[in-house]
Amino acid sequence: MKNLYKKWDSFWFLKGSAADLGIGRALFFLTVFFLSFNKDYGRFTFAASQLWSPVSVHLFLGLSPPSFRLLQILSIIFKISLLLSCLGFLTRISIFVCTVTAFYLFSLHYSFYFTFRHDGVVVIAMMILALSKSGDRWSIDSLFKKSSGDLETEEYGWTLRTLQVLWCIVFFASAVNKIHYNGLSWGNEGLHYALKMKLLSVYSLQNAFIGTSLAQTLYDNKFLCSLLSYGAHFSELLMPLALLGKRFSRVLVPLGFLMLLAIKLLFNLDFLFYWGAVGVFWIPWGRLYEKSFHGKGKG
Amino acid sequence: MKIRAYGAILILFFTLVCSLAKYEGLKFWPFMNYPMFSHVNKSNGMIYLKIYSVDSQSQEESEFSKNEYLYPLSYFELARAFAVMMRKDPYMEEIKGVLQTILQNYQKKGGEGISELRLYRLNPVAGRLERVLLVSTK
Repeated sequence: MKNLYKKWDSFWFLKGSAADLGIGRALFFLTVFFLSFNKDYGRFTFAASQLWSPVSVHLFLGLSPPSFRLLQILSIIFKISLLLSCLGFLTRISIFVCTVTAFYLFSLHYSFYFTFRHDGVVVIAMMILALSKSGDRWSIDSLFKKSSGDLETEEYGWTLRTLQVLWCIVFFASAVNKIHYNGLSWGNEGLHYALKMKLLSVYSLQNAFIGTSLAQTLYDNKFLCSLLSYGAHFSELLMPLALLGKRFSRVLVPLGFLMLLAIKLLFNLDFLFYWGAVGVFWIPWGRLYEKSFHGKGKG
Repeated sequence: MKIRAYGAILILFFTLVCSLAKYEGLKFWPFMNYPMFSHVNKSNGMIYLKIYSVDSQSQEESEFSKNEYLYPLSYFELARAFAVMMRKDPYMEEIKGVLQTILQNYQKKGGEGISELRLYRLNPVAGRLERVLLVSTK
């Protein structure tokens, strides 16, 4: 029992770098800021009332469709708090405000029958960051604080670890869902079918994008489609192994990013940016920075 | 520190449970599952739905797919919404209401010459698409 507790503790509370977390936080919020900067959240007030199909949190709180003015104000608060969270100014308060506003604004989309699932994971990551001390390094806050000296502690470790687990859950869940619906045979025609649907939609709506010809080429080669399907499915299934050590994470995490890039190229869907933003917490930014600018590593 | 950490672990636990559930709804957003192209050979009907407008003078039909007329949703978002709404029973009145709002918004923006909007399902039959009228604003 004691052994099990020790393993549990060393899994979640391993030492982590404040710089990795700080730079990861800045990049995460910067990415979400750029994705949200041009979004018009007020637009939902013009939607037909029949389209209002609220998610649980709206039902639970008894929220009705919001007014245009309220959405405009929330949208401004959200974008300012994203920027402050990125810069690390009043970091925990900024991230908390950002989480609450993102939770509401992002959920609106889903309350109008939106069925894509790319940005929920970003809100969950924000919740975790709101609980963390991610502003201790690479932040405006840190300029006003005396350095504690100890920049590699369990405090930063658990945050990095939980965000890495979140990344793995999303990929693993995606693989499990494929098995739920198709068994292990998803690879036979999973990608081929998805490409067929995408190309039908592209040609019928005449909304070709940069990767249309690549999607068509791949669709025409059923063997390659099948090979890539199986590769993607097994990479998703094996993703939790990345938590067991660098040997695995060095292979599986880049594969995850590669899959997101492929989804962007072939389907023009933005999973790359939303899920990729959560993936930044895998990268040892502190060490990379030291190597790049001071020519040294930490061993 | 540990209280905050366990708070985060609890969030992850909910994420894990909801993501592994064989449940397609989004009611517990942001805790949800991630099918990610899981559905093979199970069309959600989305791409086979098309909106046509009827010219008020000639009564001719033409495609009504430009996003600026469908504001605040894009054609893609609207088609997905219709596809989900059609799983309800009855769905006619709700979809008719949406089409009427779109037509009103179009007319408010100074759009002219359209008397009616129609939603069609395009059924692939023997290599061609056969149109079936689902809902009309009239």
